Amino acid sequence: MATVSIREVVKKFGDLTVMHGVSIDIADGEFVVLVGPSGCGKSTLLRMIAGLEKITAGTVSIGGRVVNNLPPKDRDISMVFQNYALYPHMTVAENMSFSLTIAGTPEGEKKSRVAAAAEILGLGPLLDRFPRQLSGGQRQRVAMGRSIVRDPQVFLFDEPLSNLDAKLRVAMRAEIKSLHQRLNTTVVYVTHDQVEAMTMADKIVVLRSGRVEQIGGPLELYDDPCNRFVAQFIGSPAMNVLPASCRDGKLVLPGGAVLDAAPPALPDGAELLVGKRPEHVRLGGGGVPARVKVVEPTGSETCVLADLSGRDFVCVFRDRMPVRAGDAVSLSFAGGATYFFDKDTELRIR
Amino acid sequence: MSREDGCGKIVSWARGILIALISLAFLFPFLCMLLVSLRSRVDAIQPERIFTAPLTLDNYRLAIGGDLGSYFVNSVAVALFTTLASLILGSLAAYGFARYQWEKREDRAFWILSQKFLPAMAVVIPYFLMASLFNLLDTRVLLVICYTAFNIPFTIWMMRGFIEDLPAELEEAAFMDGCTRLQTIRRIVLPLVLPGMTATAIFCVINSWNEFVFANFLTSIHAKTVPTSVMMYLSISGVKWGEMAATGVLAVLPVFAFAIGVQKYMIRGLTFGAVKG
Ligand SMILES: Nc1ncnc2c1ncn2[C@@H]1O[C@H](COP(=O)(O)OP(=O)(O)OP(=O)(O)O)[C@@H](O)[C@H]1O
Ligand SMILES: [Mg+2]
Repeated sequence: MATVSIREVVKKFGDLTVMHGVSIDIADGEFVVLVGPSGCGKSTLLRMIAGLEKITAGTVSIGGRVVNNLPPKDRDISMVFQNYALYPHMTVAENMSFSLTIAGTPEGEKKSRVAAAAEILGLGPLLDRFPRQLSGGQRQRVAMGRSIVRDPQVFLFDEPLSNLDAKLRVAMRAEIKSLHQRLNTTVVYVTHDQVEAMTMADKIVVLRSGRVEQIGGPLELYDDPCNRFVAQFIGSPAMNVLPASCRDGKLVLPGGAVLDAAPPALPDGAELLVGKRPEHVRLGGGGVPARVKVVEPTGSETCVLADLSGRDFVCVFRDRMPVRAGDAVSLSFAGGATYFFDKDTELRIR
Repeated sequence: MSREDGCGKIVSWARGILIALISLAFLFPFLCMLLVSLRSRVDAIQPERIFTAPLTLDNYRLAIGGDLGSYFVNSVAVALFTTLASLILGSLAAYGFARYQWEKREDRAFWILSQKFLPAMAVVIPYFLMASLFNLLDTRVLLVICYTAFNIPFTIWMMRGFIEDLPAELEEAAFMDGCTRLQTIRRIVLPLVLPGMTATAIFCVINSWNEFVFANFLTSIHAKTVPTSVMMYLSISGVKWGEMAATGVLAVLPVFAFAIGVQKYMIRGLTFGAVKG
């Protein structure tokens, strides 16, 4: 177990800068998730912590020690790769005990540690198989087993669930989470799936194009995003964002419709962006007129795509809704939080 | 018997006949050599009697009776050390080409390959001069050096392909598991490129075994190899076809045995299951 501290880290591939001074502090035993769209630099950052990628500038410290120039083998951290990277010529047991073999651990201890890890992950009957004889989910668990037999300072995961089907993904999500609660080791976990991030993290780091957009707990990011990108990235379906202007103390949409939400303290005529989460909209009650385009009942909730002054607007209702495509409805912004963003910088206006 | 069965039978017969014809085309020269090697000197040069003349082992007796034994020892030793040196040096260089980024990497890879463009004939005189300078003429070491130099470009290119086919994550996983670069090469890369290495080794052995130009020019008595023995059979009284053929048959056997022996390492798909779900 250890803290990880990333300070002003810059990464260049030749002339291309993919990381522009990223700073993140990770406490001992914390489960930190790095999220962001594809290509934002999540894997690169993780690989710099692992020591598989050189750090152009800045420092990475593990347990208070700067590790910039330490090779991976001396960092005492383990990594689960997106494609598992199991050694194909070794059995499951040999795969799991390989790090111990390299470290010169005695046979007896090796056996008992592999057995313990196999027990946790339910791999007992598979120990003598080769990776090619395993299913995707089993390979994924062997890859995790290879990490936990080592009892490292930090676990790194790079999208470990992205090759699994939806059902297995949910199951493994819970398994990793409970594993963390049991072992209480520091975890840095990369995903581009915001649901995975929300459900697993103690702390989420949202990255975009090599920059940190916001760091915070899952609900903190959901309730209090600092800009439009985070607001729309966290939460599913994504937050609706509409352009509007302040007129006579009211929020007016480009078509002239007036929103039933109090505007921020801005001068008359100021333009801004209004954000509303799909689950915070109510039907009826003197709201904005809209036309229903698509209704998607999922059983537990109803997802409605509406046309609001010529823009798509998504709402989610907990109840069964008696609306059908083509119906005219009125959407109320009065309940729940409404967010405002600057039109140009897209930063939150509070 | 159903129609499909009948069709299937015809197809499999046709395939069998085709394979037999192709095999015959490829084996024909070897068969001729075998036949010639088993005839007396007079019968060997009469094509119309080649299938009917009485069999004799005289040619083999004469061939083995000469210096052929020591030629075989030289050939085996040179092939063995050439293959070892080419594989070790070539594979390590190939690893560098496959896994490290450096300036003008592709240019250098091509430059190495371009060494293969040079015909042996073009360099044998300079080699001769250099060898005499170092007092290496007519030694096996000299042949090993020359053959290794000529084999390495090819080894590098073959092995580079095999190494690049391995997912880099496997090596990274080994680094994370505490391996140094050399440990990774020995425990992860080597076992997984073994099939490719075996194929490369077979080529090296055959190249070295069959080499004629260097062996003929750079050796005289002590380091002569099997291919140079054909020169012995060009005598004033004519070509001794029978003995030459017998030597040829004997020369094929060790390579054949070697290829069969290493075949089991040439399994494909060893890396299956390493990555992806
Ligand atoms: N070896 C490399 N050479 C040059 N550019 C690279 C290299 N590796 C990554 N990049 C670039 O760095 C950026 C970040 O890549 P990275 O793999 O970290 O993204 P990611 O966030 O993990 O994306 P994904 O979700 O698709 O895995 C990308 O723009 C990528 O093109
Ligand atoms: Mg990635």
